[in-house]
Amino acid sequence: MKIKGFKITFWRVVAAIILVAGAIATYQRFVYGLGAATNLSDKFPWGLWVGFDVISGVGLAAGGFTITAIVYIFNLKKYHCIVKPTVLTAFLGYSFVGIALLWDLGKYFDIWHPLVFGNHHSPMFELAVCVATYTAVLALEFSSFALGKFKWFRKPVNFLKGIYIVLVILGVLISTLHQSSLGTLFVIVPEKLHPLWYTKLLPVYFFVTAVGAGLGMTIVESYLSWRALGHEAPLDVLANLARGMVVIQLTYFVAYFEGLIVGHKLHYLFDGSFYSFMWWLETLLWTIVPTVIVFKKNWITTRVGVFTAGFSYVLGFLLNRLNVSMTAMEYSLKANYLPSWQEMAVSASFVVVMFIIFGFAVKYFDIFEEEHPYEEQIETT
Amino acid sequence: MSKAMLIDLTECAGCGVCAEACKKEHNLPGKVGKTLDYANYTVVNEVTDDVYMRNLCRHCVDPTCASVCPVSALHKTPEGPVVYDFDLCIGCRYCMMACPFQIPKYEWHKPIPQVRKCIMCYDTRIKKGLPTACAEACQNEGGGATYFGERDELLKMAHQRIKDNPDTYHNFVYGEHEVGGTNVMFLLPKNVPLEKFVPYGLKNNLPTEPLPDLTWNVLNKIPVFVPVWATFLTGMWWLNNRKIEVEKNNGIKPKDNDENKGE
Repeated sequence: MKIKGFKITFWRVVAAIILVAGAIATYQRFVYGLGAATNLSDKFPWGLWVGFDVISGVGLAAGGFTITAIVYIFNLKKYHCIVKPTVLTAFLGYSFVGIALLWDLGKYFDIWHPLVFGNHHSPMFELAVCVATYTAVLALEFSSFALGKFKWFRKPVNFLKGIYIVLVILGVLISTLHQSSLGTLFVIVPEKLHPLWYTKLLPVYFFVTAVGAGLGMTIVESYLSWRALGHEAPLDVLANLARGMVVIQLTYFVAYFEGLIVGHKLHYLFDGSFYSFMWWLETLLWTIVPTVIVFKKNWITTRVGVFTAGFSYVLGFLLNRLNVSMTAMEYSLKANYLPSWQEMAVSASFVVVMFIIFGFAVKYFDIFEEEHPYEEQIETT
Repeated sequence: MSKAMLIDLTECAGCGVCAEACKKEHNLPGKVGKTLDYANYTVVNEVTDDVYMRNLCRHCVDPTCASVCPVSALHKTPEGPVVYDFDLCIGCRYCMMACPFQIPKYEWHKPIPQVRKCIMCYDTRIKKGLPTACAEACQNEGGGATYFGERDELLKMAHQRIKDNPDTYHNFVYGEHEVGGTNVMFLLPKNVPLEKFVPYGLKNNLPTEPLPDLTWNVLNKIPVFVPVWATFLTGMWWLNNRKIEVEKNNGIKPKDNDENKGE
């Protein structure tokens, strides 16, 4: 990183420490194996690298299909200003899910096998195919507005702009499939997952809450790029996203709660166990806090209020995915899993690298430039 | 024809010759252990006084591990055993997560690890028409608790035993119906409740339907769902863009319509 006037700041030091730790952990993992670098065991085979990097990561990158659907399919042009940063985040997010998987897979060099030897009965196969295809779609979507500034890319970029709506519809379609199949992964373990989280409707719920997470993440990342890079998305646009997010979440929550009643599971909410605590914490973060903020007029009209609603939702979403993939599994596996420092360092390193690349991409590809010589074409087709 | 094993736990003496024979047959390192791992495909544990439980892969009729494996590295052979192909495996460990009996184990200490579990001596014995190493050792040197044969014949034998000695056995064959049936089945002594066996590998909360049905009932909807959803999305796009065109033709300036936030 040889940039003119590179200053040492607090966050840069933190980032450097994380990256060094991540590098050491990476060395241990690939030279000595998963056992040396992680706290995974026969009792607890999926940890942070699946729960956070993949299952949460894919969900948090859902902004890509949510926002493009709002803007291009539902034609709400007002939200056009956030399309580019959101597509960029989604593209980065999906690329890193694919890369992070290399750390978790025992035979990482065979990561391409599902695309060739696929077993179509496996939700994991569906996930692999969809994530690979959607990353390609996002790459095309991103190129269509990032590469326009290079002369020799004009022709292919114009072509991509011409078929942009096809990319958007394809993206929404594929996202619907794989956001839900993240939930399908756990449908096959009815007797292992804690009753508070197991339902046969997990695929539906994972999809619905991914839409919410897409909106929440868009809010969070708009706030962060405003703080770090000074690009301001209109507040009323973000506030509306928060409102939509809460409507979706409340719809989900009512359906989910009905499921608890019908399944006679309400007593688990009040048994004072660790699991009930985690469930309430999750509910507080992604249902209660955003709802309260959105319906308080003088909170939702401030930047901090909108950000808090979005951030709280994202935290709750993250907790929900970790609860399904780790907490609820611990219930039956009787294992006390806590991620090792290596697992945390690697996951944190990916977040850091993503931040750095996002910062560079914003500078080089005019991500926040709203006026674009080619924009007219999409508007009219 | 589907090869199977029946383990009559009233006859098991806990001698462990089955586990030793298994180690020898598959060249597994180390001494015979008490928990299943990469070097122990089967273990024998004392449940209560002189009652033993032997744990091993159940070779389910409709195996969950084979269903979840994204690359079919695990699959059910026509002869009965559920076998593993290391060349196909990508190491995602979904099989370990999904197996209702927690059977597949991993070589955590290796840089390039394999999934390890009992394969019912498929390569070395079943293919040649021989009984499994553990069953042979048990009959010849052990308590004679493990029987090898055709699944339906072993089931007939098990039910005959329950009928002849209703005071000795629990009135069910464990593995006849659990998760759609398994190829390794157990007869349990009546004086020990099923709950006592739970920590040693016999779960008491399994459904009788095969678990792969649960995910397949979701996944088989995809071909039906995709055309419907694609039509809806394309239709919404057409509808919402058409509105602007109509307004343009009528000479109305298209306005920012944020009220009609679709679906």
